[in-house]
Amino acid sequence: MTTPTTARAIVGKPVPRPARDATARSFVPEILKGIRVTMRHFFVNTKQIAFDQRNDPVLDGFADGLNLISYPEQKRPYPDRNRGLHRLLHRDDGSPRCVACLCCSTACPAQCIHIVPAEYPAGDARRGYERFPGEFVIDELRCIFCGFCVEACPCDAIRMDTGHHATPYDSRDQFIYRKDMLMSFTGRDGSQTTENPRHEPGEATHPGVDRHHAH
Amino acid sequence: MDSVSFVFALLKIALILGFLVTLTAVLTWVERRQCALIQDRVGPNRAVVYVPGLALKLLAGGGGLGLGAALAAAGMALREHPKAMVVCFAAAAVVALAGVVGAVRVPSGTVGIRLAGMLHPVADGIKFITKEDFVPPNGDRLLHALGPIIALFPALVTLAVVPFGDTLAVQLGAGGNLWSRLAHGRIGWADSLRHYHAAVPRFGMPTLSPDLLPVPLQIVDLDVGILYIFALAGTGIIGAAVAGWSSDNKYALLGGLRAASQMVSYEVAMGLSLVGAFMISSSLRLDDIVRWQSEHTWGIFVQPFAFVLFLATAVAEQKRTPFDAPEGESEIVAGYFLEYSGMKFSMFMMGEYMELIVSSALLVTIFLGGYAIPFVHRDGITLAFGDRVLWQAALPHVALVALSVLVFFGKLLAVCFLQLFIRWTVPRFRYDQVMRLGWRRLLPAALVNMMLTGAALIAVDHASAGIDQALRIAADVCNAVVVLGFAYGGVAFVRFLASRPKPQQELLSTSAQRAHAQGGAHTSPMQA
Repeated sequence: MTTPTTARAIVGKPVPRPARDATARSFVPEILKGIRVTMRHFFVNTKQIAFDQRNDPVLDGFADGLNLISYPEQKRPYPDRNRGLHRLLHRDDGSPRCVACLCCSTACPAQCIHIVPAEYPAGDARRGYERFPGEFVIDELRCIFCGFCVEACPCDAIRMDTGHHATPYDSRDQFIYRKDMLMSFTGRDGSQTTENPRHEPGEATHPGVDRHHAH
Repeated sequence: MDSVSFVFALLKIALILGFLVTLTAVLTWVERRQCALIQDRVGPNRAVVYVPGLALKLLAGGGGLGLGAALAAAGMALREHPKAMVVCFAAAAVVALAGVVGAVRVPSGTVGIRLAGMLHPVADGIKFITKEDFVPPNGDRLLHALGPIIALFPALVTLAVVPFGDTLAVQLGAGGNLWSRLAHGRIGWADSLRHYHAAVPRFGMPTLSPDLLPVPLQIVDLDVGILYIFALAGTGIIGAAVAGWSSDNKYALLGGLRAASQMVSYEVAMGLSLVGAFMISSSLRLDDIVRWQSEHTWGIFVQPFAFVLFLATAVAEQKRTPFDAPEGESEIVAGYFLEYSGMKFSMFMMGEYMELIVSSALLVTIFLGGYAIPFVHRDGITLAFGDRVLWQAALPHVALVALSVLVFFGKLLAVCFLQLFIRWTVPRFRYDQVMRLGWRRLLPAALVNMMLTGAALIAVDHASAGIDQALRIAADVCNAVVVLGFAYGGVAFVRFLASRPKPQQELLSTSAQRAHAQGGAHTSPMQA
């Protein structure tokens, strides 16, 4: 049970009232002050347009003047951690890093990822060790750009760092991004690979752990 | 009326109407653009006409070279006058060069012409003409159609009595008729007007001699002058009221009532605020008022109080912010033109802007010297304080009249511009506040101003002889203040244009860092 506190007088914050003297009530000086403000904005901005001195809306965002982005002539670059369209990363040999583990499609709350895993052909060193996505489809119209697929991926195979926002199309089919398209995208630095090393079966660095050779 | 005066009258009507309609269209653009710039936006610039770049190149190059060739030919024709020939050749070179440079600078491919957004009024016009002309099914068809006409008409005709320039005197020569002299190419501006100063007095109307035709730059010079304006402007109320009544809509009716009561209320204070100015110039004719100001000083210095009153009541008469009680989205939607669409709606808007131009013209004529320029009279520039003449320079008559016309239209544009600023600066009044301000503040203030002016006039009439000279010097000091104010404003403006503050860059976000690495967010050519 809470103990009742002793009642205290409520002390309001004193708000200064504007003076209602003759100058204020005649409106004229106040209107002149207001016109001074609006005129300053008008002339500064007109000069910027007329002399092509417009502020860079991103770099000079806090300066006086026109700080708006004239889309689409100007665009603000997305921040580094922006989640844009997905891409599938490549291995050194150009095949997808994805091992079709279905972690991303499982994690996806919008259920927009569809993967059909496929086995490597007999004789391939990776057969029996991992699979690859025979089909990898993302419905970008369903995607809510939460980034859970990127978090879930154990192989750093899917990323959302293309720097492209979801593109508008005129038909639903065009939002279905398949493996080839997802693999054609690059990161914002232009690369299609990642710094994280992969250790392919047969390489010296390969730990040698697979379905047939346990630790 | 003889044929000469008739032709001049037609020319003047064409000039004023053309100016009025053009300025109305331009003002709709200025208003939107200005409000955008005040709010740090770019404003309308998306209306665009795409033209092949090649056509523009040909137009610029061909036009420049053609005009240059014509000027060069004119220069060759003026071989006897070396100065004129040199001027013609220089102009030809400049025009041709500008054409060629322009042609080179036009980008190839399709070029979008935007004219800084000036195409928006054109697009608006196309839209208004092609839109459905909706009449409420239970409305009054006739009155619904009459409303905008009644509202627009007074705005169109009131400029007729406003003088837009000093009286132009055309010397016809002894016994000559203008047409016969024109036919013989002997109208002789240069030689006749050089001797003009002797023929006309410095002040007052030019004398009517048989060889001198005075052309007042005013469509009609009525003795009732300003009363004509008030009488016609009063009929505009009927337009708003009729529009509200005939629309069969409660909001429109309320808006019409508000408009009617507001305009009636403010018309009283508006008329009374000008009485002081009439008393001082002892005339209702606007031309006399301007001449009084030309001889003494601008009306704003003798009637500063009336200037404020008139400006406030004029804004209220136009039903523009802060007095836009007749329309209000949150209360009565669009007010009396709620049920109007297409060209009828645009007639209301045109009427509003024309009223703005007319009230600006009145403000200029009565308080800001009209077409008069301080220290400039019919005989040229006379810099004098009282009887002490400091400096004098004669100017040709045509140049002075042209200057007076330019000055009048310049002042008019400046006051229009200021009125637009008032709209974007001052928050609106509530309806009861509008009424209270009109009847309980502005009307008594106008009456007090009238009485004080009368008392001051009587006092001056009964004062000693020395006061006249003192007032004259005071008037010239006021003129000097105007000149110095303009000089100071000009210098300040040039300094403002030359200044270029370097903004402090803040690279706090990764997008700003990325933009910085790219060299800014500019990606493709900016539009005005």
